Amino acid sequence: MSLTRERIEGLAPDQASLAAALKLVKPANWPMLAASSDAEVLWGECQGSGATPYRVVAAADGSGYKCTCPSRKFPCKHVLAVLWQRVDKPERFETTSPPQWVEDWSARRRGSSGRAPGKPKPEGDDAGAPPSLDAALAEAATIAPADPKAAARAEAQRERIRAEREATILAGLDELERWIADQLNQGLADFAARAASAARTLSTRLVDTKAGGLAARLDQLSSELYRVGEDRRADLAIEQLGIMSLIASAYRHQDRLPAPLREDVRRAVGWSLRREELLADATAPRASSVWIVAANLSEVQPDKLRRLETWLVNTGDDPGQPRAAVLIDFVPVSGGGAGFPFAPGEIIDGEVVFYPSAAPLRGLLASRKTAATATWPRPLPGLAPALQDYTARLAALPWLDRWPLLLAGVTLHTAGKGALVIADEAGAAIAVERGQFDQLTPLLGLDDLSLLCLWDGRIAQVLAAETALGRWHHEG
Amino acid sequence: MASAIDPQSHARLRQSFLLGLARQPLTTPPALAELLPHGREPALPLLALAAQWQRFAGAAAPVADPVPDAALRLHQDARPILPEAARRALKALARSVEKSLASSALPLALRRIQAAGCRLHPFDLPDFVPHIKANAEDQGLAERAYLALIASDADDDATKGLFFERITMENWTTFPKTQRRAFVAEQRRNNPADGRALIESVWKSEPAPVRAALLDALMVGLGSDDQPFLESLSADRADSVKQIAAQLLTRIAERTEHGARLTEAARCFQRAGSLLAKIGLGAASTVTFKLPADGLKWQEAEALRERLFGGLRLTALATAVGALPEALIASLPPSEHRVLTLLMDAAAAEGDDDTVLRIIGARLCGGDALHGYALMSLAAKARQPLAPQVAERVLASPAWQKAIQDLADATTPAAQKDDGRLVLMAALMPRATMPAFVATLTPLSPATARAAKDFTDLVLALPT
Repeated sequence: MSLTRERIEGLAPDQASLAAALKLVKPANWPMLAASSDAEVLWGECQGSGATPYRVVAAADGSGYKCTCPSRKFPCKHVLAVLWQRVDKPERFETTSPPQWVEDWSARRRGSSGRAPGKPKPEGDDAGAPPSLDAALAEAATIAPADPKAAARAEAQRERIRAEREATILAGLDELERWIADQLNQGLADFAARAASAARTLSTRLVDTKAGGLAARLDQLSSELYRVGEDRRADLAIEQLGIMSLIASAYRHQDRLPAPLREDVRRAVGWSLRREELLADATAPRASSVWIVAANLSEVQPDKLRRLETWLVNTGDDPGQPRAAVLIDFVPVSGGGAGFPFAPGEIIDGEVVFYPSAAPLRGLLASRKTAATATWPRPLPGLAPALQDYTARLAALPWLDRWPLLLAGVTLHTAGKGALVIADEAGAAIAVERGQFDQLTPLLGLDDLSLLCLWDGRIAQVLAAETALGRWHHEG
Repeated sequence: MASAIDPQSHARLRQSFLLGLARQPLTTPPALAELLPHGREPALPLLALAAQWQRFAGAAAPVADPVPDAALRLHQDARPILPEAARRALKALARSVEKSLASSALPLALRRIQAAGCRLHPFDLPDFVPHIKANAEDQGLAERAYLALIASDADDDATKGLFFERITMENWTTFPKTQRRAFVAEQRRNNPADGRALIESVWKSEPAPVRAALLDALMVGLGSDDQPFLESLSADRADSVKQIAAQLLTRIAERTEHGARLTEAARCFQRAGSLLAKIGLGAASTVTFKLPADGLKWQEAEALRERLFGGLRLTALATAVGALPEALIASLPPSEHRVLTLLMDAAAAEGDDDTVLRIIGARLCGGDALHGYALMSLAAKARQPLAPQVAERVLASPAWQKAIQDLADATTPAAQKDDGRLVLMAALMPRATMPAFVATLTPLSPATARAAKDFTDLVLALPT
């Protein structure tokens, strides 16, 4: 069946999806649009609200599709936008051979019934009028230009809401500090046992007071404590409660903080920066370079969101640029698979814009093109330079959780049964997460490793290794 | 800048936080008194300072062990690492094969890699460890060294380094029983008397499970020379050992029990009295099989199959029946898969791979239907792929054509799934027949044939 506007209308789950797709058809939203040489498969990358672009692939007749966005509408607006552009603007599609992720999708398509497995035909609009592309276009065309008075009112409204939020956050911080003081009075020796129940009410209260960042930190506290050995739990409780106390105090005195640290503390409490705001921020740190995707980490949060972290290594040799970056996306757990945008080992030539921070790490991929080759960076050998860097970052950002260590000239060793350490020629060593023992064991006995690992001051989680046998990537 | 908290001050603060300020109030260290905010309870600022002090102090540096011998051995394996294209295909196969088939298909893929003289990339060993462990005694140095490295404390064999040591006449008694059994069987293949002497030399000192395992190795090269030893075991202290010894005695070809058993087994195969059969032209189609199991419970029938066909050589049985071995195989109905397995096991125990493949080939060519579960056990027994001419006959057989047609006609996702027929057939195909095999998959959807194609990609990417 050939693709027509009518067919796209028929595929759309509702009118709103068509309208949303219409807003996406600008070329700027699509750094990549391509079709296979037999014109059977279309694919593209759409810059959504996440840190990384959504990958969209569709059969040219619309009979199958997939998108990495978390939307639960099928097809989503990104798929509709690709199909729409194929009908209206076919010249935007570059004819080329499909990349691996497109080939994988093509290979896994079942039959020719038209829909991806497990995705029944949406029935929402069957009973009513069919969604109309023309209607969506007309609706979009009739959006009135902004009224200056209305804009001023909206701005005033935003300011009022902002001020109210500041006040409620401060109230939430008061409650947090009272709660921590209560815990100190009771003693932290057995805090781990009561952490989950003790924190539940306060966590809900912090969400109510719009301090979602602190609420999330509190929600994770119990599982964090049980992730370490019993002998370490009480000390970790001191550190984690100390950090929360420090964040609360820093937030109250944020006007005295340097600008990047002020941004850090606001984010730690719960304020967020929208993608557009960050991209428009001329003061935000930026790094244009060739990056190697080191690893993908996925973690389900207590709020039922899956946190997807894509760790990048900067292969450039500019000492003024960050050596690593992390792109973070959140998708609903109910949405199914992890859907990482990039595979470990992929090479990206692009610009990363970092969230303002005393220790810039999290970023957004502002632009990119596929790069062919890259060489793994070689920092100064040994553990000392990287550990000094970590200490400096911790001094600059006292609630720093984990920091990437880029190491060279190190080796892996066992340290008793089931434990690994990273060691250097000077005899220094740091412990490796025990859960990685089986995965990393094949690297034992290999000399001169270059590693990227996440370091929390006590334990390293190895994300990638450059070795004589090739590159190793952590498989989450 | 020097820290405003010394270790002693920190220890006192920590003690108060752990015990509770209600029990042990805080004592503000003098060096901090000036730094703390005035007019506020000092507990929270001191908590933050103590926390940061701990974070900067970090943990005591761990002590690195010398590199374990097994880790060095892992990288000293002389076999070449799998070529990159084959490595990609193997990973693709691991992703595409149905979970329920992985434990059948992936060991066969590893076997093909070994047969090609290659080893896995060391970084991929963790992904295949269940399949490596399942066949630990057949693995190469790198795989055994890796198993030794990841073995638990409780695994004495691993801690002794036995997973990566080569078993020899001098050290064989220190190895786990499965490896000792395999070692004795190998010795028996070369010289049955030497193999038996090995067992006899350690017999009195071994526990019953080990004695049983070692005795089982006598299956290889079993003959009348073993009779005195086996008869002496009728007084063994373990019933399990006595049973195995008695079973082996009935399998010694020179003994009358064996002749009687062979005759009884042959009577299960009936040759029809057609004229063609009588002149030797219709033998393949005129043999029928019927186990005299009327009125027997399932377990009793299984025991009967075991008694009649366990350890029996196919050629001896065919001679006793007076038909071609292929005719015997073709006559076995699907419900008699156990008989087939017993015949294959007997051949495999002797290291007679040709007979195993002959049975598999006859089974695949002769039947009119192919089932995933049956193919699973056939493929598992095949230590080598089929011969090209046999493989071609299998691909042209009605059973294979029907299997492809059924999958192509399937309309539901469940029915479109490969139940093992495709990927396991790929595992049986020789390299030369791979293109013809892939051509037979053409009517199928890419998803249905994905794992089978990944298997063929792997085989084709292996060095010849």
